[in-house]
Amino acid sequence: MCVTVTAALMATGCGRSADSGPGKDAPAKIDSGKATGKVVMWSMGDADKTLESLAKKFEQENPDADVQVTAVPWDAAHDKLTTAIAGGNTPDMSVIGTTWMAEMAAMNGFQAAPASFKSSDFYPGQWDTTKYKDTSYGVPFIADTSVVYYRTDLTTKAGIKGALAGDRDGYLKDLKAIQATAGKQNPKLRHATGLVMGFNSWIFWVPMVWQQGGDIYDAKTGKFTFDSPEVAKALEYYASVPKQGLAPTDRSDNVQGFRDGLIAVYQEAAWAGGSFHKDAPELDGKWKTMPVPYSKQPAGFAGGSDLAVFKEAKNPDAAWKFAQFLTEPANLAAYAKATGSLPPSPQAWSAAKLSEDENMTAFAEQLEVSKAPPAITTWQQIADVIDSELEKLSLGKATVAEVQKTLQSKATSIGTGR
Amino acid sequence: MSTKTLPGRGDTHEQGTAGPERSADRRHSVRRGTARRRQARAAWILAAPFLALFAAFMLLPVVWSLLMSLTDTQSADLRTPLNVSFIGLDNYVRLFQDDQFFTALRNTAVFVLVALPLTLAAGLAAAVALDRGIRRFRAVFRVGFYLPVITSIVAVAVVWKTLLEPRAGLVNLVLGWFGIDGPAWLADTRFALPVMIVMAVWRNLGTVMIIMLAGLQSVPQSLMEAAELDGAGAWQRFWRVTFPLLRPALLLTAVTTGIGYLQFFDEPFVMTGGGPLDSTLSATLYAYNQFGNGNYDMASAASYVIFVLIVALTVLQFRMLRDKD
Repeated sequence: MCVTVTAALMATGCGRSADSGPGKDAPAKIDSGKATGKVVMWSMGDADKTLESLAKKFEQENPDADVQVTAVPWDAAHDKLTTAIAGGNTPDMSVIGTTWMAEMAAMNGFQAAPASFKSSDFYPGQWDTTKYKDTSYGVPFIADTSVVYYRTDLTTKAGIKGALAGDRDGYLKDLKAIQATAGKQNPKLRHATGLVMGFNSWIFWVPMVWQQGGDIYDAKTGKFTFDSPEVAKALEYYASVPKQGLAPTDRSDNVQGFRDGLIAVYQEAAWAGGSFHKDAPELDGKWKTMPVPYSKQPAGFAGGSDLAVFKEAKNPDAAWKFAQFLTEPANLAAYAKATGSLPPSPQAWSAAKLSEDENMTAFAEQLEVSKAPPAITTWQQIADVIDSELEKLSLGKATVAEVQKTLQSKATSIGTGR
Repeated sequence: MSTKTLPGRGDTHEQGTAGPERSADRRHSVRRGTARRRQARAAWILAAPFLALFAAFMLLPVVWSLLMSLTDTQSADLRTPLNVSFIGLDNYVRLFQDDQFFTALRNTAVFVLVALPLTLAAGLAAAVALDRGIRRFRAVFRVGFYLPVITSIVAVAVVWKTLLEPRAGLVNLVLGWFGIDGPAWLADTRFALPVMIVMAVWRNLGTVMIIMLAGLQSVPQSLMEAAELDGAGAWQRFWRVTFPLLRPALLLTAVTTGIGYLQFFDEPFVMTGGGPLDSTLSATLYAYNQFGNGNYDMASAASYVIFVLIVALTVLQFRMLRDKD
């Protein structure tokens, strides 16, 4: 179909060959020599000093190469990347949020990763974030997952020695014990735990489905499975905490609540630990981390960022070489150490000796079992629907059965994109 | 060479046929015509940069968006426009089958219908108070009322969000002193939208006040004196003399504030993301979310629905407030 309005207006793309394209790309090839020429890379967030110093090191090893790192603010990044890809005016490479990979790969924006990157070098969940239609379009660079943080000063008063129970029923029992101490032993405590409501609450719920051995999407049949018994169970788990009054439903700030002792336990990503250490040093030694409690099998959420090289890169060879350099265990370790983020490869963990910090071991354990959300282009929309249905459920405005029915019908009507 | 004389030849020939008696007159009008044409050309040249920019960055996107709303364009199609096909009004049909869009329209309607009259009334009241009453602190009040207008809306929203934080926020802290357990303002479906209405009134009454104040001060003193001589009381003078003269100011503020309110976006975007349970989801936020999800077709269709509503509201306001003569 070449005769469409937009096609006529854009006047590009007619005659694109059918044998390449998203999901059908052959892996890029990189030669064995040293990198040469200029590489323009976008990084997300503030100017990344660590990345720049790694780029300097790369330039020393490859004297003819010149790496330019440009910082792009996170809130503008998505639009900037999609317009760059659409306009065919991209840098050579970029840091890409894992949940954007499928969408941008489907836009035919990225080169397939060279075969020299081995999936076995990375945590499986992190590697899966690079995939779209079974082809890898990048390399994991920053891992992210969430664990349970707990205030030892508050939990010991509830008679809990060490971490809370790792199984879901025991965990709920422990939360009830903590809640019972509110007011008397723990004067400031209002709720045992905090709940993430609204935006991105799916990150905490979808792993509960995986822990049941189920899933929300079957990649083989291309069908959503929100109508499965595992989803029902996970919805019950999610709703049980606010329903029993163990968490507030007022969207109050969990980080602040945890620092002030209003809540004793909550689930958060790695950055929270760094922020407690920095902004609330008086709490040092009073909080610990543990892996997320589970029902049948452990599972967690794999997020973070990947490195991708664009289809229209001017210097793809050097870009891939820089990506290779950045993902060497020693450099991943250096990056993670300097920025406080989690490295996506087990070798980097040992290189950085991260597990010597006992609060990091929960993350290491969690990364082993973390999984990526389905790599479909409509994922963000499905996630939005999950968020709003979870909100209805936790506010008691809908039953598990109703939520399940809505999720299945809405997800099916949104579909998985073209 | 003879060719060199060619340009002038046509003129002389024409003059010949036009007749000698009218030739002088005609020559004059021809000169005036070319002068006007030259002037017009200069005008076009001067306007060209603006027109080019306007066409490229305003007109084209607007037209493009209309076309896009009639196709099934997704973000993935930006690179492969061959996949895009013309689907007529399907997007509009889908839009009106989406409960969430209706929720968004309803919230926007409630917001406009409540906040607009409140803003106009509060702005008018503030203007009258400043014009008559509080003479000593007039400058202070003018600045005080106008300050929210010039503050960035995002900054305002962030500050309000902090003040209204359920556990650590100042509002609930103060309520707590009086033994009142304050609600979770922005996480409560009963309070989230009203909070935003209060915020909008507080923020926009300054603009209305300034324009009304200008209107009030242009009311001729002689008219007031005449009314007073005729025995009209203060209240009557206001309703019979001042208010009718304020009609243009009222129309201006009603139309501009109304259009702004129909595009209600920043407050829910920053403070609630449209929640809780979609209770603060506005029509523009809905369109924005569709765009963010890569559904450019639906986002365009929703934008055009909002556009039609804005036109309708504006026409209605002109009908109601325009000077009758």
